[in-house]
Amino acid sequence: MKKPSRNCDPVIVSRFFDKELDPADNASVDRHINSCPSCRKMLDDLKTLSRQVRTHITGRCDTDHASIEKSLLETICKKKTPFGERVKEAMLAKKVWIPVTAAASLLLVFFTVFQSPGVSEPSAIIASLSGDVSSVVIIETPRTRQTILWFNEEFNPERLDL
Amino acid sequence: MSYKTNTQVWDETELVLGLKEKDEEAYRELVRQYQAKLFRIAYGITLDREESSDIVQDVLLRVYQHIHTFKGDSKFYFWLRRITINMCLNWHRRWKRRFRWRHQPLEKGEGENVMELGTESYSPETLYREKELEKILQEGLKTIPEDARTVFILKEMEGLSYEDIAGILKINKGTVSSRIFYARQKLKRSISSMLDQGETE
Repeated sequence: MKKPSRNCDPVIVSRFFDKELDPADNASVDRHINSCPSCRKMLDDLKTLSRQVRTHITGRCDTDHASIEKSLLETICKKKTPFGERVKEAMLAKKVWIPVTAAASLLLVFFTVFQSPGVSEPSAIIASLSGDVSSVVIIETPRTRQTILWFNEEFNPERLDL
Repeated sequence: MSYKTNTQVWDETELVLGLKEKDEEAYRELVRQYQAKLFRIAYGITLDREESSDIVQDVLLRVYQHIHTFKGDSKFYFWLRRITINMCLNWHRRWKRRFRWRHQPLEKGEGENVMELGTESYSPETLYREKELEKILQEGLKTIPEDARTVFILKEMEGLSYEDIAGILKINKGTVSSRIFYARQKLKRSISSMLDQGETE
């Protein structure tokens, strides 16, 4: 520890005020302060500052502790709720189902618009067959192969040569 | 096991035991006994009531959840105090606080204690002077860098020795001494300058 000097060292006065000097230094500084108006004033200023700070902080901390207590107790009660119940509560909460619904709608729109088979895709007729009763066309697009089958509505049995 | 009712005083060992057994009454007692003390430390460091309230709630909740990690090597309050200080000095919280301070230099409306105007103890002049001093002190405290303010507050509000502060903040004793001295000088200068400014206006 630095030796206290007689030159009115404010650092030493600050340590003296905090009772952080060893007993010998403390006694020596105490004697000096009693005989030095300048150091006495420094010490008095420190006392005043300390009191003002404590009063100020304490005054500002005059807050509504009851509401903190209430909020904390509610939180721990929630933490005690069984897991299944908590999941159910969470699922029913607006903050969960609204975003989930919105996301699902967006996905639906995306797949409807971008993933549906395009009507303008190039296609080719691979084979076709027309008969008296029905016709068959096999069409191939870049992604699918489709078979279209239809029947003639006006069926003429005479043409069958029965 | 029977637990104590609200009117009875819990000693530290009983309280810790109750918390370890997740007893709600013990938790209630923890909140009642320590929230104001921890709030004072948090406020001294953050100078922000909303932030301090969040910190104290976080601390008490963490204590409830992690009480099993308390080994009893130190006093229970010392453990709580250490958690509170660490949470105040958490970089994320510091960053948010600085941001808020920059955009809201004065905590307007905060700390405006309602006093009865015109009573003997609170004449308009006294009230005005106290309000001014309060404002000056608040602004003065804000001018002290957070590392120095933390040390200063632990000294002023908790009355800790330089050695204890050094142990909590993991710095050396000489640094504690110089930070306290620096904080006092800075605060004195800020107060004097603001008082001078007020007189010339």
